[in-house]
Amino acid sequence: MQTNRRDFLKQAALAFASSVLAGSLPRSLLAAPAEGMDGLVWHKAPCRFCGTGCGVMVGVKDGRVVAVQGDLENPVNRGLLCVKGYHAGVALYGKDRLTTPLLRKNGKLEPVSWDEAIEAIAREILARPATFGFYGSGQWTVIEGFTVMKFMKGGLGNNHVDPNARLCMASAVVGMTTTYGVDEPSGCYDDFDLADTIILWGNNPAEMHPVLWSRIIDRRAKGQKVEVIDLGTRRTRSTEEADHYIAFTPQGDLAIANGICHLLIKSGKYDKDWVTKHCNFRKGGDAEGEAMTFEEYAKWLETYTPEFVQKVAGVRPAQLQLLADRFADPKRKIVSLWCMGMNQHTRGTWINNLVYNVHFLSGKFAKPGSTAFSLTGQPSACGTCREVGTLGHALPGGRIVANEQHRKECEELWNLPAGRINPKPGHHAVSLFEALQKGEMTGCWVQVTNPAQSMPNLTGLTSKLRERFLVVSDVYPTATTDQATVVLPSAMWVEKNGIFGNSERRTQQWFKMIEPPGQARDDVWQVIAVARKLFELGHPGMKNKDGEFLFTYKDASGKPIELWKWEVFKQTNADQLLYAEYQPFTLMKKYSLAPYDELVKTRGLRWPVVKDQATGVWRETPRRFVEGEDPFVEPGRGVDFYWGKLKDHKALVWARPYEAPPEVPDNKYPFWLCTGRVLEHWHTGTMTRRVPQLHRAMPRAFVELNPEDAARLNISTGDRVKITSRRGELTLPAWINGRSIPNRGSVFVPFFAEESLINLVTLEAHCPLSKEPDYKKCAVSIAKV
Amino acid sequence: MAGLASLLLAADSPITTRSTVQVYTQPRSFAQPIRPDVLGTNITADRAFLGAPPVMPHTFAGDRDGRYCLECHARETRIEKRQQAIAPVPHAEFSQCQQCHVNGSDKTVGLFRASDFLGLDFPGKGTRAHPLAPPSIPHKTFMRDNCLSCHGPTGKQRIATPHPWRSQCQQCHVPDASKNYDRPLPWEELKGEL
Repeated sequence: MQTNRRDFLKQAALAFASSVLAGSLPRSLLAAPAEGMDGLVWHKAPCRFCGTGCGVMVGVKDGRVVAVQGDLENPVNRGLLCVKGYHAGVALYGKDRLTTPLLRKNGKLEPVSWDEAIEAIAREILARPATFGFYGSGQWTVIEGFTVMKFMKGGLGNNHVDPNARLCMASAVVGMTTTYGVDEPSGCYDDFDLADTIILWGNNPAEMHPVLWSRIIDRRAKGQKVEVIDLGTRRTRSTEEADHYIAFTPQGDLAIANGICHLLIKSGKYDKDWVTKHCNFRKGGDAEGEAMTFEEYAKWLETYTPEFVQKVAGVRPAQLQLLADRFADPKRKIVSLWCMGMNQHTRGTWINNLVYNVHFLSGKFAKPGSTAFSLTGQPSACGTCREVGTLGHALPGGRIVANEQHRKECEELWNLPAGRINPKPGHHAVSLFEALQKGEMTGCWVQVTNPAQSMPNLTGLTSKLRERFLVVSDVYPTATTDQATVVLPSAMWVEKNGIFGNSERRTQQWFKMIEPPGQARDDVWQVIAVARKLFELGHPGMKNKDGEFLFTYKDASGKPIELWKWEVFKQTNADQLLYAEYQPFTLMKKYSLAPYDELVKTRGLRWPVVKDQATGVWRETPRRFVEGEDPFVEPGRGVDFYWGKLKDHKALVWARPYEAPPEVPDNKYPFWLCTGRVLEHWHTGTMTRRVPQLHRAMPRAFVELNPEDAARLNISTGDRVKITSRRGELTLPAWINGRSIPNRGSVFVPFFAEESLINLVTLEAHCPLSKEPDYKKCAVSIAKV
Repeated sequence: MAGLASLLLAADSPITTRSTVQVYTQPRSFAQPIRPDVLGTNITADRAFLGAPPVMPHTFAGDRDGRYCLECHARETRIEKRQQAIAPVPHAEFSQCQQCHVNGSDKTVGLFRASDFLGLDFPGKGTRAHPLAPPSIPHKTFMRDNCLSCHGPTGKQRIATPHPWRSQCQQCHVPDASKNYDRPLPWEELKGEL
């Protein structure tokens, strides 16, 4: 070996010395450059696609990403990736990357300087600060979300910040907060390695969380027995590995969960001890509800007989009994998994509550191998949207704007004058776009997402964006940049420093590895630059309590760092500065994120991360609320829901009824429409379609029909099929017996293709508690054309 | 499985080429006719960079079920009747083939947008102590347990082993630690002196 490791480490450290604390680079972050691979350096990062949070090693050579490999040292994926992850580096290099700011002049987007773009945005916000919103994403890094929160809620004094995560996991959030008083799951991926039975609630991890799916299914190759029960409205790749497929009618999941609980209590095979120790019972449809006794709850459940469940959910009594038997078996370890099937649901909050009920009544919760686990769709839906709280009603660290004490704490942590934070919750995603449509909101800044393709009922919600002052930060031209007044070219993934938080509370950090193309710049810088311009123009909110600029950070000598200047920003690790400001926000709700330096050293840590006083080691928490793992559990309790609503260390079992969906198939629109993703493409396809291998594998959208329906309508693969709803229509090629088979009477369409916008057809009806729209069910007609 | 296959065939208007039945697994565009010549099974695999999973070079009836893949690819260099060799899977511990290997058979699909990506190239030859010594392995070995997947008779000629009958490859060819960047070796992690 010719190259001396010490020399190499020095060079590597120099390469990004500006962003790294020199000398603190652990060996395992970097690997050796080798003969024949001159200058190739490998850095750690989390994947920038789904919420699994796989560790990747990014190979950089001559200032470009040339390869991506699974990170063997990352406990999430242990070296494996899915096809999107392997090609994440290719997604940086589409030829049409946005490289210069654009401003709409006389109806056309024209290149302008950064100064002109920033000034145009600042002047618009200054003129109409109260009606300017911010729409972000679960692909925001933690620090990007935090910067926007400080800018909007701490600076502009308006709370109109919401993320696309509202369309993604808002129901999981409200489900958790209503069930055990705080966001984020109790269990972790380790439970997937131990479970005897995995239950998929309308979930297709084989395509949406492939690496976690492999983690489960590949246990069989090691001789372990893993039973999979798939509850679905569509046979998918996941169904192929399932031991049982239980087809149900859309919305029937509410009845199934109650039906299982009914059978458990009726047979006396529920876990009496667990229930008595850890649960209270509650009825009502809202987030508050009112107390009820166990006996009242048992009586309430009597509606949900197997016959009733069969009537509304289409599930046979024997199938319901099978599920109940699994939960009644005291030795069996069970993990329930769900993602959009339960969350994009007009009763998303309820169904989340009900699945916890099943696990609580059976005592299959907060135990190794047994948990109810909400998978997230985006890489930092948890880290940014939920923990930083980039939602209309929220403040960082599990706080809410309506709570005076919470506002006061944030004002103190941000060094703001008292009363700066507005107590009135801002718009949620759907209402933000309704307000933009009506003109009640005059402008909006969109970062890292593409609402002109991903919102439901596009005609009803996004057709007037061109008339508003729309700022879009993105890396490629999208359906949304088409509507923009200002387009800002952004740095993507490893072109900037970042931190993501994944589904299992793991916070993962990475360093910038390459320069963004052209004039593209970090989203964090963009926000700080606009804030600074507003400060210079005299906006009073852009000052802290001491009259200094809102984003004032000082170097070791006490001199303010002029982060709004790109040259300064580039030389500074703004993530580290802002994370130091953010981390104390996480202590109140016991999220307790690890210090930045610890994140640098590790492949992520699952919070709460608390320093062991004896050894000085920062210790992560695999399972929350579990004695011996979670440091905040009161000794002797075993399981402690320390944020329980009633402050008695218990969680709630909710009596939530079955309710029919707002739109059901009828004679005119006889089919259910379900929408979703496919393995190859991420969300609206703006990145993955620019990867030749992914585009070739899945070049266009399609409509899947059940083979029996297709035969009846004389439709075969490749035929044109027109899908019509009350809101819009779309023509697509049919795919029969292809990737998936929808249940009879339903069709499936993916939403990645910008030339085939299925969201012209979908319904904007949403869960009244979580405000999350239901992309999984509306009524359509199908015609061969 | 046979039931499912026949269902697929019945519903999917099979295209017949080279006396094997092919079923296209993608919905085609309206205008685009099916080109039988892209449906063959002997097209070289393609990948974005060294270390990227190769795309499936042939069409595949069981889009939904990865177990079909192993019907052929699980066996060591199975030689078909037609003398077509099939690459054996190099990482038998993974069963969800299609989560990484996506359909790349249809080369007629144009790009969505052009790409500037320049992938890591192949690593070149391993080092030898002297001209008659066995060369070292110049790339990482994670997920490459079966050398014959690439270096056997089914792989590219350039890298084919001249002695495929000797199955214990790593007896003579050892990984080069400087090129095997999978994980730090114990002595690299060593804290202080021994």
